[in-house]
Amino acid sequence: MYSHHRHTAVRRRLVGAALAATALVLVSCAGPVEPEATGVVTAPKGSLSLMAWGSEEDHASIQSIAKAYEKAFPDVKITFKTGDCAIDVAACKTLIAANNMPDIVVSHNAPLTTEAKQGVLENLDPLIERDGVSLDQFVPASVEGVVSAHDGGHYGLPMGYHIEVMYYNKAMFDEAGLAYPDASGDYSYADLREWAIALTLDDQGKTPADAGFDPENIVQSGLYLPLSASGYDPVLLANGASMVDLDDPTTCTVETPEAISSFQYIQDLMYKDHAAVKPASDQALAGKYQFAQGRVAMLIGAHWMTEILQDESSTLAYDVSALPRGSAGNASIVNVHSWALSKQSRNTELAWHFLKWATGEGVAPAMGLIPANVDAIGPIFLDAPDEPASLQQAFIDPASWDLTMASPEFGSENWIQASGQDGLAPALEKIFQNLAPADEALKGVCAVIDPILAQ
Amino acid sequence: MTKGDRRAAEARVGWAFVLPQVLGVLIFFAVPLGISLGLTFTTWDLIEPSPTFVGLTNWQYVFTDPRVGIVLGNTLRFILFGTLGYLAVALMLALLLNRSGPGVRMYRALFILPFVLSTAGIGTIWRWVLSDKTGPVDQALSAIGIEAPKWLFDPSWAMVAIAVATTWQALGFGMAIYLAGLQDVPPHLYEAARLDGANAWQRFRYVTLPHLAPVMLFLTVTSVIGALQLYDPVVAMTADGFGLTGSAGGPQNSTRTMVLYIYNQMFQYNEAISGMGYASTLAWLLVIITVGFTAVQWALFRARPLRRKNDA
Repeated sequence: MYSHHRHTAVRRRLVGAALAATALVLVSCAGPVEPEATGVVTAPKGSLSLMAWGSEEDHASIQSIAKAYEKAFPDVKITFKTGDCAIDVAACKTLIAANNMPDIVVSHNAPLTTEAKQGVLENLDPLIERDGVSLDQFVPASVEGVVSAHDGGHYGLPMGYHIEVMYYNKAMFDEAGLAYPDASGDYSYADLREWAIALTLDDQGKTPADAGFDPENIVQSGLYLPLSASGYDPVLLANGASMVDLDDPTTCTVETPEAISSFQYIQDLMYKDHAAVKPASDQALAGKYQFAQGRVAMLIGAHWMTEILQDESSTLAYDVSALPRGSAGNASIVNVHSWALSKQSRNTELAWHFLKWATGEGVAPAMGLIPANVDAIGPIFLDAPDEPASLQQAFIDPASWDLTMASPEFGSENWIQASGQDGLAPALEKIFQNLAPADEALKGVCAVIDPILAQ
Repeated sequence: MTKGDRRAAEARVGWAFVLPQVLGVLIFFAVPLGISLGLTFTTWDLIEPSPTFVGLTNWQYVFTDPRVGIVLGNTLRFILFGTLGYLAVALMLALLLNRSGPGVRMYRALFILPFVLSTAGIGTIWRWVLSDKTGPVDQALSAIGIEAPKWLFDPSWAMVAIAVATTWQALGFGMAIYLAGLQDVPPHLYEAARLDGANAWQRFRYVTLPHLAPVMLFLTVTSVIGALQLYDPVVAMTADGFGLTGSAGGPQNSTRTMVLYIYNQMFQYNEAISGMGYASTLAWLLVIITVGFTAVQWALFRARPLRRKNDA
């Protein structure tokens, strides 16, 4: 009797378990969301995976947004992963090969075209059109950063952006008897050079303009300009040049007279004027820390510099200004972070719902960026405590300059190779190490790069 | 049970014991090696669902790719500067520390310490140590009136700088292996040599060195293999300030190694040939070169009189 009851109970449990498993399978097969006929999710349900790169603080900010989404939609569970996809295509490829790609990745505009063309990211245009998502809610320069140059499609919704500005040490300007740079960028690259010279001091307190100045014993540098796209692209654009054709990123334009003179300007600042931090000094202590320690008067950088100063509880008296104008006008560079969908995602509708929420009603501080959502700029960025005075003029207004854009060379799928040892790197090393003047170093570079860009 | 049955039973037990190892070797070595060899006849970007067969295309291209010669030349320079220097310095260090006395153990431990640190970390430290003018090395050389080269910015010196950094890291390991070999030399041989009137150099040449030959062979083979696989220190010391691997290998291509080039072709390049297939071909070329180097070292060891007479 006992045995019969036990077997019956076991059988019931097994049948119940089988039914539950079948239901689970059916639910899984049916998809995690309940779309209406239009495809719009009304009752988000299911699970998502989300990957972000960056620092621990960056991860915390993304996790916080994911948790807020889970709170708003309790039937959704988000698994957070850290990893370099989609800032590094290699990381994405290994995840895809292992069938382990997350549904949502935090992307960056540098590899976006490569990832879009190679099938890592999903083109969002059909979803944007279907749901009538307005891209006008975002800062236009940030929208440019999610467009893939290969087909003009949008491969992410903008999360936020960094824009290159100038940080300056007010005490050093006061000491040198110089007026502060105009916050809106109403000054020229010639002015910047003049100030850099006046603000550079050797151990005897002499500037490069003084007789007997000792360039081997500089104790205060006038300027730190990063020797990367973030540093030289604004100089190039402001002077009517660029690394690649603005309309065709597969064509090298680095040998134009404007590009050559822009690189010569940078080389002269370092080696003729001795007024900018040289690579060797940057190697010993990164320029951003030299600025934070009061050893550099001006720095071209983005909002991460404010975070460094805040992290170090710096008492440095500093402010920011927009970048100067060149012969073609004022220009800056934006680095755009976006929420992107993996093309391998099996939860596209739910992931898309998250993207719309995270860039709309759920927008929150993320990765130390200026939010791309126009309405969020005030509460999240401009009203934040411990920020320099000229935030609006330096960080917000320049985003709408005609010559402010995401680095145009990133529009080429092959820029990593073109900029590496097979392409541009040896020429730039010659310029930045003062081994050759810019015209000599860049001679013939396009003949090497163009085939790489075109492949 | 017959004798044959017993032998069969013993054989089954024996197989049961070795089967896990055999399976381990098959699953974790033979199968992946076979797969990677098969991939050399394909092209695959990892995003496509499966590789595409291309026959001998990758193998034909590897012998015409001008970058292969450059990266192999760079690796050879590293072996000349780094590996040979490492073997010599580690031996000198072992000879110095092959004694008892106060502080000797502490010194041994200090020299081994860098070996347990991460290679990327070592590269970053040496990037600072060798920094122009403000770095400790430049300051020390300057103090004695020598103008230091621009280490990592000079194509002639960059690989030397990497060799110095990697030697510093591996020195303790080499020293420990040499010490083990030195302590294996029977003391009575030194006494006999002294009685025969051998001076210090002769005792080293005719007693110590022959006994160290197997150790030297081991260290030479393993360090040459390590040199052929050089990657992390190059990236840590030559990538731009943002640590982008694509920029590593400079200045002027002087430190780009085979493994770095494999990474370039595997993940960063979009040439028609790029991807898992060509990267596997380059990796197999490296395997062939490594086996060749090892065979030459074995042959030299067997031919030279350094070894002891009773060594086969």
